Amino acid sequence: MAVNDSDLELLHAYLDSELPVSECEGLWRRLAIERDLMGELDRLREDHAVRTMVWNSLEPDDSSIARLQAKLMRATRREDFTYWIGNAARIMASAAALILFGFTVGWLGRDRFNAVPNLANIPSNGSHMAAAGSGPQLPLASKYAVEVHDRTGKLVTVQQFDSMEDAQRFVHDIQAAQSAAPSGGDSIISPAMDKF
Amino acid sequence: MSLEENGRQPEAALSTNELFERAVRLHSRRLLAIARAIVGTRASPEDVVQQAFMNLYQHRDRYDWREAGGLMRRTVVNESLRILRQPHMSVLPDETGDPSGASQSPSRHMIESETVIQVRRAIDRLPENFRAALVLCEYEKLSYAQIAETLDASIPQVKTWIHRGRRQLAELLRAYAEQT
Repeated sequence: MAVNDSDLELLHAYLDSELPVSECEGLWRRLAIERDLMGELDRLREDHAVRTMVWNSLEPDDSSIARLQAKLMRATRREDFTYWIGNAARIMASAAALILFGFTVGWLGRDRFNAVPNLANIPSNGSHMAAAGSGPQLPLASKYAVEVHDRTGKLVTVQQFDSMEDAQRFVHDIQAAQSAAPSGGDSIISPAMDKF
Repeated sequence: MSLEENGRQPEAALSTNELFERAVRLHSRRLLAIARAIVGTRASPEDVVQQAFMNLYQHRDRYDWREAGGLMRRTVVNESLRILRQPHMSVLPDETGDPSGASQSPSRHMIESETVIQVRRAIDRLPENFRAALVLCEYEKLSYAQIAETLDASIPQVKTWIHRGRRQLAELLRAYAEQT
């Protein structure tokens, strides 16, 4: 009886020790009876032995192994060197970027740190508080303040000048205006000289 | 002998690089044979194995190098199959002899008989998956399940590859025998 493909597959699984025990018992019974099947199994075993010899012949000799390992070690050393160089370059680039960023922020924001107080926030008691972003601003160090009060003594405004001469001129102008007024009405204001 | 660790050395003090180098020394021989069986004359087995090792080395911190046999085998097989699937492969000189060019030992000369050469050539004519399945089954002595995991295939697929590979080999060798 010729061996069919299904039986061949069964024999291959048996030779590979992949046949379940129950199927092995059935195969053994058939092998005891069917001579063609037994003959095919013997032929497969011979082929298997030849192929095993071929696989073993593919194993390299010691010099090939040594050559491969030497090449591999050189490649891994090169890989390590490239990695460390790349890492160092990344760290230096990051540090340089941070320094540049900090410098840029500082350069752009330099005027903000020199901000002057808002005149509207300067209390009448003469204390100065810095307030950014509202109203006209003069440097603190250059202020010559002239308080202007109405007749009731209520503070109307505080005029800031860069120089004493400007402040004195302002007071003189106010006084001249008051002198020229027909009468001393409510609208007339009298400056009060700041102590300077 | 399968790809199992033997002669364990103290591992606690070994760095990842040292464990990697030890795994390379342990498994190079068999992995080169596997690469040779799969790529045949279509590529250099040494280049295939080296590239596979370098791929692992670049991500070496991810793996446990104390039991690296299966990982290295799977990587070499995948790299071998990837090389074969590239277009424009050129056939390299048959390295059936001693690749280093040194004289063969008497035992190697016996092995390199005409039959072995013919079987090698017949194996080289098989489809790549058939070759890979056969070498893992008959040389590495892996189970069908292990072969399926290595080749990322199902067990029935592996059984089919092995069965059809052996059948094609038998037909090729029968045709050769009829010619001689």
